[in-house]
Amino acid sequence: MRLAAVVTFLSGLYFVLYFLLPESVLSSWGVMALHPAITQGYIVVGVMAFGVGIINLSAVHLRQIFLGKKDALFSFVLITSLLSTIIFGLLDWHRELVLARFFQKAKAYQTFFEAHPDAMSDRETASVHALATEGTQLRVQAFDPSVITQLTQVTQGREVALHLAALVAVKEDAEKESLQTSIAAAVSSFLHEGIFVPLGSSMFALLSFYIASAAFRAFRLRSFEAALLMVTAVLVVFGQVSFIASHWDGFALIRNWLLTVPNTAAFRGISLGASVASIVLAIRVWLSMDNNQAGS
Amino acid sequence: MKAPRIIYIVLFLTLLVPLITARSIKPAYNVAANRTFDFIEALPEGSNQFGLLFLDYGPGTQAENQPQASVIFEHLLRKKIPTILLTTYALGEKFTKETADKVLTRLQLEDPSRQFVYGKDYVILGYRPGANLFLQGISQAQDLAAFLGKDIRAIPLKSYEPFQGLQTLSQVTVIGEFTGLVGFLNSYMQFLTIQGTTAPLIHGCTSITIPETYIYADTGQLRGTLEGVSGAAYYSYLLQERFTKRTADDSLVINTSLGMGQLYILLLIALGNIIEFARRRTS
Repeated sequence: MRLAAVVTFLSGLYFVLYFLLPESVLSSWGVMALHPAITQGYIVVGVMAFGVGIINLSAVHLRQIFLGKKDALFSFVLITSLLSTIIFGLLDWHRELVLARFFQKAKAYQTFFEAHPDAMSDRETASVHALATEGTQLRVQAFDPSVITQLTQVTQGREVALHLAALVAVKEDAEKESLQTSIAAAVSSFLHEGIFVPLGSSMFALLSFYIASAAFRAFRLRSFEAALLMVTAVLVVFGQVSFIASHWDGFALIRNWLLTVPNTAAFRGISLGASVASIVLAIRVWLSMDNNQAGS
Repeated sequence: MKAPRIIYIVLFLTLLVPLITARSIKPAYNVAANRTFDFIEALPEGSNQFGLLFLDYGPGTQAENQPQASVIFEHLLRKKIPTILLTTYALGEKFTKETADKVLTRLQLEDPSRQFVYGKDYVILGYRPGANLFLQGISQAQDLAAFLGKDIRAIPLKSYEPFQGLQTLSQVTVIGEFTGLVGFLNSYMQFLTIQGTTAPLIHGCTSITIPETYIYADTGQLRGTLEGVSGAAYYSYLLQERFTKRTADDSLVINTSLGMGQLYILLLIALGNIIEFARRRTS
């Protein structure tokens, strides 16, 4: 616990000094030169939180499953989702990398043979054949059936350059086709676009139904303040709803004034208050005064 | 108990009809979107400029933030400004590629002879962890292309010819940040500064976070703002005015649907108050 508090304090102190001390002093201490590396180091440590989070989450829910607790089914769904997203995500990423590297290599060969258009050596011929084999494995010939065969029959550099230029030109199609034929890509895409995005969007979209219900049941003009709020809301909505604002630009200007003047004045006050609270919170965390932050 | 069900069904239909019929009407004049458009339109075309777009949104605010990111990315492509797409929000990683793909497909349909090349016109970096520290690193980097590292294909940004000359943040002519998350904009305002001056930042926010952005727009720290779907729709309308061959995008239809929903909510407020008033009079 003490070690964590000391590390937290020293980490915080570094950034406090970095922001407060003049650049000349920091340069003379060699901090300016080291700062990018130090920043990257902090980022790496921060990323470890993902790992800690996964371990923690897995430990809690695996325990639920193995002990057969009441909500074990939900824990099972969570663990299955976690594993499938990680596994298929990694496989999909690997597939994209392999394909990208193949086309990068093809582009480099094309550049080389454009500069050396004459007859090829045995070594160069072997390299081109190897590239053709790699292309076959990646199913690149699906878009240009002749290109792989032609690559294995060339005798001159200029022919290779021409065929590779054709190959690089079908690159985008190749990526799309690979997306369709790769199981990892299809599953990864389904997990994201078929499950994750609709679920996330639906959760947010539910807000509109709550707002509609609250508008009917709770928004009552019982006081002057409520009436003022209502009038302001109506003007702001009129200023951005096409059906009304398109008839008179004045609504848009009134809306802009409301947001620029009264809103800004009020929001600056709120922001200043929130900032003071943030500073207090930051100092508490920095000095490990908040036990929860220190992990106890 | 029947009233809420009727309210929900009518709201559902109100939102659904414009989306199904794909009908849209001219969006309302939007001061902030107009200012943003003018700012990007005034940039000179071509070399020695860079765009840096942070797509910090997930599925929750995709409906609002993606049309905003799309119109800005499209405008930068049309201005031939090499653009980097990335996110500092873990859930936004997939949306960087999706947004780019949608815009490129539409531009390709508009003019099949025009080619936008990955690595030349744009690059996708995906997710970058570190939040504030990463932003601070960007503002202080002396070799920004090296600091930004590798793209989603694991190829160093520095290996792409147009981005080799990207040394410092001062070379970035447009920084776009699109999010509905509270606190993100503050971080960008704090850390993305160039020798004491705020970087040329434009911000796409959701309807909920609009009030916060006006603080920075008022002081000039934000060069432009796109307010929710209505901001994106008006920007889209301006693009259509400027590039006459351009086909309409989703934002105009979504904005029409949203406008109907907003009017319906105003109607509900009025109806609720009328019923309450009548009840009080009878009692």
